[in-house]
Amino acid sequence: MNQARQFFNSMRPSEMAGLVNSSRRDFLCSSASGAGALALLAMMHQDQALASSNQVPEALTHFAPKAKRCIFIFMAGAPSQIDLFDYKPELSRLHGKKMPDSLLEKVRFAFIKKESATLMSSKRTFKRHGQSGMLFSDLLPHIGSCADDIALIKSMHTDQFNHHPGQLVMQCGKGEFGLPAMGSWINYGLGSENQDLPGYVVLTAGRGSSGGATLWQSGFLPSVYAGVRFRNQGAPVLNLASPSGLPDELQRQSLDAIRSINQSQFDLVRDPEIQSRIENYELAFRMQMAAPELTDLSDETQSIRDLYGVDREDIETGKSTRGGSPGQFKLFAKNCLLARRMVERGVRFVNIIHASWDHHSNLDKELTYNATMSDQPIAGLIKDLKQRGLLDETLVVWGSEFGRTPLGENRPGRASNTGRDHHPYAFSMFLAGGGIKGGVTHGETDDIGWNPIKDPVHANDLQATILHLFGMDHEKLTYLHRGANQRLTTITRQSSVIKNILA
Amino acid sequence: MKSGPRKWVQSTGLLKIRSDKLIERDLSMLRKFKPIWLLIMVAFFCAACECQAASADSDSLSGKVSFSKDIQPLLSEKCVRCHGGVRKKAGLTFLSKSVSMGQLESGAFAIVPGNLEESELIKRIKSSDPDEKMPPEEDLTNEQISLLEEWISEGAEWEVHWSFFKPTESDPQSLEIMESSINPIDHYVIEKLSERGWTMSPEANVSTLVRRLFIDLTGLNPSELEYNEILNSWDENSYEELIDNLLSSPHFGERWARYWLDQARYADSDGYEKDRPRPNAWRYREWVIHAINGDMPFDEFTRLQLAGDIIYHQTPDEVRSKEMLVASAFHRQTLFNTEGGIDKEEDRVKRVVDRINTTSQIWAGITIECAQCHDHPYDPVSQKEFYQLFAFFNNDTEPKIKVPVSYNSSSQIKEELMEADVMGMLAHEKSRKTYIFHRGDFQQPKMESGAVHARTPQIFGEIEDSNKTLNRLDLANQLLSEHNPLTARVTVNNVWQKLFGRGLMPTLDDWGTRGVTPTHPKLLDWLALEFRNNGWSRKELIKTIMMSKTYRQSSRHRLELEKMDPNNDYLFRQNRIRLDAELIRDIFLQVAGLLDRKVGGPSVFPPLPPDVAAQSYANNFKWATSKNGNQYRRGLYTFFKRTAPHPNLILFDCTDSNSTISQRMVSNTPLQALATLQNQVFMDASRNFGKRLFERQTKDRLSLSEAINLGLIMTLSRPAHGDSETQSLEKLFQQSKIYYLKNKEMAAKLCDRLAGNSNTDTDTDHNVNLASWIVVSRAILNLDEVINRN
Repeated sequence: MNQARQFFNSMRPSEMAGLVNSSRRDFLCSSASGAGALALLAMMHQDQALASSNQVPEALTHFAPKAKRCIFIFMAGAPSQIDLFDYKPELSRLHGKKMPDSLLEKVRFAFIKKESATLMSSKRTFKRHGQSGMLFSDLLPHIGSCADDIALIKSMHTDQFNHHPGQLVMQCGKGEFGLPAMGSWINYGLGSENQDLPGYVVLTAGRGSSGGATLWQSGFLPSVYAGVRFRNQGAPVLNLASPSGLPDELQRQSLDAIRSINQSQFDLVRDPEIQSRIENYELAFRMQMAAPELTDLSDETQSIRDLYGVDREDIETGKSTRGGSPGQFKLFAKNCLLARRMVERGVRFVNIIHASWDHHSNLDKELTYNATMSDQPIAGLIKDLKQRGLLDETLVVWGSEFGRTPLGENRPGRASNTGRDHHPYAFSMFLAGGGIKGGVTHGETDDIGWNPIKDPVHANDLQATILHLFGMDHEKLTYLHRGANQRLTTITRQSSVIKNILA
Repeated sequence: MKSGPRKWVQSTGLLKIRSDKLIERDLSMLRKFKPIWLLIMVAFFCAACECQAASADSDSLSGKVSFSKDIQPLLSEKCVRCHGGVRKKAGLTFLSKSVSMGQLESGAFAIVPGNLEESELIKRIKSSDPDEKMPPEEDLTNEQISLLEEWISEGAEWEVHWSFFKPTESDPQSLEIMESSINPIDHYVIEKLSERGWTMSPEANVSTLVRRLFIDLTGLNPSELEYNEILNSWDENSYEELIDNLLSSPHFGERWARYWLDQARYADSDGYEKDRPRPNAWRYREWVIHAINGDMPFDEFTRLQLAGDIIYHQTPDEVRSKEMLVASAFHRQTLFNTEGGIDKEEDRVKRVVDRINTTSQIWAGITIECAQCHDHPYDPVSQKEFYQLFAFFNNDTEPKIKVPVSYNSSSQIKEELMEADVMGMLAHEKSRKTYIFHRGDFQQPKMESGAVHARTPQIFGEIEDSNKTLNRLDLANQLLSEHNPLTARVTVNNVWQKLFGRGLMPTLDDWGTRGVTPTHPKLLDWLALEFRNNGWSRKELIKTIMMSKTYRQSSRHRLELEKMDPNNDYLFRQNRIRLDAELIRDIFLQVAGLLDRKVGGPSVFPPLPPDVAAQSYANNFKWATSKNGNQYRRGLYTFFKRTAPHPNLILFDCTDSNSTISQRMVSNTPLQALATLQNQVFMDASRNFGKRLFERQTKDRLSLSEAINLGLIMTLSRPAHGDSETQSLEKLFQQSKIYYLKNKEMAAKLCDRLAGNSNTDTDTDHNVNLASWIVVSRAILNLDEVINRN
């Protein structure tokens, strides 16, 4: 298995990089081994599990991992950090004033007119939480109560200022298409822990995000690593339900017939792909049995439902549909609870996506709605993971593609400034569990929250850190595609792990 | 079609026969590190192996260390990170021969041919002083060091990478091989096989060949009628006749257009957040289908797409001239960002960059996007050359153009009154100046270095020195020029890959120094020259390949050879190929009798779960499901929305159409099984296929096993192998019948969605039989063989 480890560790032998890689690619996609990539990875993991129970297989990691699973809560649209995390009392003093020209010179905006833009203070109040005294706005009391488990980064920055490219940076490392998402990379590196469920699951709420399905694709990695979206209606996974009028027993008997003929075809042709197909039909059947159990919340106690707020009604917001159709409170909370059930069952990467937080106007109402909707379920998730002893190995990440301006948005034709524009230069994200040091606030922005002035963290640094927590070196987890060893982080940029937030 | 099998046999006498025999390469000569890594790889595949063969290449038999095979990969891996295109520490880059052999900043010389003492490179890699040693963080192995020493001692011959040389003709080696070949393809293949003492596989049986040709040329199964007719009258000419017939089928254009559309990153929407529909994008698809059906020579096909807008006015025929403009929509297939507050210049630059990448990828098989920020790290493409290419595309406008609504029979149609707006390209007269962007950032043009002018990069072949201002037509011509080493090779290789599942050059998108060294370079060159000499005819190229013995081989695995050549690089058999996403659905529908075979026209909207469409931005897209047979059109007509592509396509590895793709991945996943077992369209197919078989059984008074056999013929184009296949399915039929007799309401439910099934409570036995047939049909359609071509 040692050689296999090296093989999967993806460190290139100089001599035959091309050949090895092309075979590796073919292998991962179409399994010359006779087992199929998924089965093969699983096989390796089982092997590992036998050797050292319940450890992340060292075979695939570059150093000791802390995290085994990740729940990435992606708030598409860019929540206002100024009103949630990055407390700026100076902004209140400067409210209504123009920005110094020196700051405005080189920046671009989506909608703001530079000449007449003025600073806009936050209407929120901020309070310290926990032993660490971490600051959160009054919109996040529940998350505040988890302060000592949280590492808050206030100095995030990215290089895209439009939604779709920005979301791609945060999910896939660069603002380009055809790249694998972080969940795909991690599954590619580590494989799945549960053979009956996909290793990368996506849960959506709110309205459609800017990035749509491009945010969870496997890009140039084989599609077995793509995110599988669990649905909010109908069967939990597309095509999971047997056709009406076809009972499980006939499904089983059908699979037996298919299997026996496929097996005789294999005996004749000896193409290992046929074996993979046979395996996959069995896996599909098992998934059919396992997924409904996963999404059935009836075995959860009322106190757990209350912890997440699964039964809450939406709060009144008027006519806006920014947050999506009615019932978002229940849906978002349910997704958080499902995420826990998934990581419990060994799903490697769960991406909870909620859109939209793009508050160009009517920020107070809209942000209040979204924050109230998500605050309790997210805190509930962190607490629930903790009480079950899962938080140590489960990394929870909260964030978005960028932040919002300290300037009010003065889009031409608007009577008053009630929103904020896109701000890629400084925004906030937080992490908890999975090897993260709690109670740490990392990085600082200037008095108005415009630029980081201490410890800036690029999206790629965060990704390097996440991979590090999984025991993988972001420069070594690579895949040869179009003549280059591609990776999650940008090749031309020096990205570094944020040591300060590691436990 | 002028080529045929006989032509090659007759011409053998004209070819010069070389008498000197090949010297079998002494395998012990192989550098040790190669087998080590192969061993790791192969051990992983098959536990135990003999691996020497897969890496042996008998093309360079001189015994000398080869720069391109041995040294360049070593430098690429260990050195160019710091001494390459991106970083040039100490002024040294191993991408340049003159720099590597010239005097460095320090006064030393990295490489002095024939002189180990004076070569700083050797001194450094052997040094034990941590400040001196190279590479700083790792040690080269003794084998690697002695390779470099040997190479320098032998004179440090620095060859140009093989693919940057023009294709050359080579002479056949042996008369004996010649005689056992159908055409030169076989000659090159047999030559390589016999060097290893291997032989080709036998020809596949007739029914396999028939389905193979149907699938490869039209993407559809032979119908039951076609199957019976062909097999009943099969003789020695039938194979070629079938190829000719299928090449002239209108479905040929559909099948082969899809490959090109992948490369052209064709879609029906803009991409990005708003992802607005492009209601007339299909007109470009239509043009591609017609061009391929009419076997438009690849050179013309290239010129029209890259420069149709430049030459259209030279054509007096107004319809043809409009078509040229439609062809130029090739480069309008890029994504277009209309998100609020977008920086328009930034997005324009992104589109230009995509056009450069796409052009270079498709015609030259080279990824040059990294040269946007810096010189290419591995291949000889400078950042300046990238921006010289940029200049070709920097003055385009992207207008809407009026085209006739219908141009069905290519240039022969009457222009109709209605016109439609189609996205086109237009070269603008006023010149926007092109500057190199510092680190690829459009906000940092390097004005101080001066403007760059349109010029093709060195890897596209020699160009004449002139001061003429070049445009996209010149670019197209340079790609097609006989001085260009890449275009013909890359194109024939793409075609080969479609017919064998794997390219002769397996890395279709990387022909540079990091690409794989192909096993059959001479065959590749022969095909490239043949393609060019035959007037760039795609159909003729395909036919030539299909006529070969190599193509006709059985695809059955040969266990004794698989271990030594797990990828079948040496072509000792055909490969089994998993069908493309669109075709899987097409064949289900065809077998069920549901497929609407209409060729061309606007995109259609087959059923899609509403929550999938809702994934696109702010639920801004309404998927209005097509009716009246349009929901059962072929997969390539499915409306492709970039942010919410149809799951039935994506599940089976259809491209995301955001960037150019030469070869789709092939995955094998449980979600695919779920789709073909229970997705609505696949279930509709199973139901209707069940109904079909039930009706045939009744009408023709077939026994159960005869009817099942008929089902196998319709899906697999072959009867059952022995009794066991039919027995498994008969058993399933009986099990179903027992169940449905006890649960008649379930039978009614299963039959419920079936159009024209009016037998409800009155005739429950009918439903019991029908439901049982549906269960059996579903099992047949889910056999592995249905979605693979043998």
